[in-house]
Amino acid sequence: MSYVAKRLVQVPVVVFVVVTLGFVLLKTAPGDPVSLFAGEGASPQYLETIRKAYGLDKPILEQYKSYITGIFVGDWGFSLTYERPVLTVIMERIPLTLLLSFAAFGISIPLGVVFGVVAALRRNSPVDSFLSSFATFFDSVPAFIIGLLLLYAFSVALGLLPLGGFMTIGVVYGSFVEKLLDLLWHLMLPATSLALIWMVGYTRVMRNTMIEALLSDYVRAAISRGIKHTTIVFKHALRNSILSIVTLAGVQVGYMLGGVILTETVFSWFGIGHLIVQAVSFRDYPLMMGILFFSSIWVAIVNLMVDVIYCVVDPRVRLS
Amino acid sequence: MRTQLSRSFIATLSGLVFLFAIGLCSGLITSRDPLKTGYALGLGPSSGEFIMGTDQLGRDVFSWVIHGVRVAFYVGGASTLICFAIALLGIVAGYYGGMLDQILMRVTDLTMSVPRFVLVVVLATLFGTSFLNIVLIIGGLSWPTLARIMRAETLSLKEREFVLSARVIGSSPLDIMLFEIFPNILPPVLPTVALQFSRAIIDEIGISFLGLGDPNLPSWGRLISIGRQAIFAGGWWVLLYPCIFCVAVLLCINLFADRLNDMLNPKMQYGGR
Repeated sequence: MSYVAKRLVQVPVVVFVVVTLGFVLLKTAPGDPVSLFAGEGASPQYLETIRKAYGLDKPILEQYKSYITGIFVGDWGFSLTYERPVLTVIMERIPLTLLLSFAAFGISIPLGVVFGVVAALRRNSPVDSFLSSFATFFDSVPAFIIGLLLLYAFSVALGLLPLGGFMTIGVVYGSFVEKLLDLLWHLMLPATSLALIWMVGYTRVMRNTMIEALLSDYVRAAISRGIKHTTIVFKHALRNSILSIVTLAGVQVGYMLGGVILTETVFSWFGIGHLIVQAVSFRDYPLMMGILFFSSIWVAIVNLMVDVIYCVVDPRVRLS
Repeated sequence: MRTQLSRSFIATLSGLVFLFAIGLCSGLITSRDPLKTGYALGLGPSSGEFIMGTDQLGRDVFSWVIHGVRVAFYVGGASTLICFAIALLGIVAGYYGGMLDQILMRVTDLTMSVPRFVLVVVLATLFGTSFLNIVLIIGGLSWPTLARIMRAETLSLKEREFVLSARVIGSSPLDIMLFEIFPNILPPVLPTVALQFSRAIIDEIGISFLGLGDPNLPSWGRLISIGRQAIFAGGWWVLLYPCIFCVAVLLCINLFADRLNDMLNPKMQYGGR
């Protein structure tokens, strides 16, 4: 457990370093954010007022101190475009991003595992080579391009699915179920395009670890003891591959905020990825930096959780 | 088995060379300026004059797609070079160990503590979007993985007999790193470098899709974002053609990287494929 405790301490340290770095980046970036925000031709008095309001007239060390304490006490500054606290805006968008990515995980992990097992059991067969070219294809293509092509095919050309957004505009829902169905309706394409890309990793990892397991001594021993084939596959080989699936899923959950940016933009899915693009196009620096910090906190916490899951799933980690 | 492998290696390599040649001769293939508007009145389907049609502002899609090959290779090549050059620090860190090694490892930890594309977007916004900046950002954020591989390989190589004997006969550390270690870490490193090439292209297409690319370069990402608008007016050709080329280039590079890996590291395959 002391291992987990040690990792727990690392979370604020990482956040501290990332925030410090973010502050340095903000200060070294060319251009004056205040005049950018105020627009061209703003009067010097107006610029001065904004500067005062954001504390930008104070010495730089003082600015840094209030910046970093602010982050740790939950005051992440004020979003210029949304005219609300940054943290509030981020928290509003998080559920949609979580919904999208977990829907994509819900599709990609089971399918990837099944494909991987099938490929491993039918190793070097046509099925295996088909799955491997399938994987190579989706490994090479960015998710948002898949998304755009799906969007054109299913929404624009065939008119079967919505063009974007997360619910139909102007509809009054009769019941919660109706609302949920509408949400799932809109979720279909973005989740599928992400899932197709994310699936590749699970298929490959599953295939490789399964083959390794099937060729191992303990499986050979199980075969020689006359244990049923299905039992060997599911109880002996599959269970040992779970750990690598957990590792991969952990990495993907951790870095998902980077992965969803373009897909959310393509489908106007109002999550964090859409928000950062919004912040960028309006030069809303407080919001943009807020999302940067949020994603680093997210990575740190997810990594910590993966470590805890490791301890639970694999006794060897706990004991060493 | 061996011949089959080298045959598919040559196939992917010639695919890459072919695309590279398109990029190199893009000015000869099409005489139209890809960014110049008003060649046609507006969105128009493919015709004898405009092979891939025109976009909303009457730009020639074919010309943009062809010039985009060059942009993709430029971006991929330049940022991979930067990435590779910085990653060489991994050899130095692995060879000497100590403080330098510690610092390098902490820096790689740090770059891995933020999702890469988030950082790419933030940096592109803060520091502006010239070609040089984009290449520096992409290259400067992608070296840690490569550096870690180089470090790990160096750690295992530096205790081997041939390195030790080079040290015994008095070779300088620089000579050892350059002539003993460097050539021997290439087999595991080169496929990763090739993959880095395609990842850099993907990153650039992504940020120019978001409107953060160099406005003077005909990048596929920007054309794709124009195509995203065009499909609602029925102009599927503005979206489809750059997507096809982009997928072709990325697929070629990745297949090449796979074959390269199969050839250089035959032991790493599972199940005796």
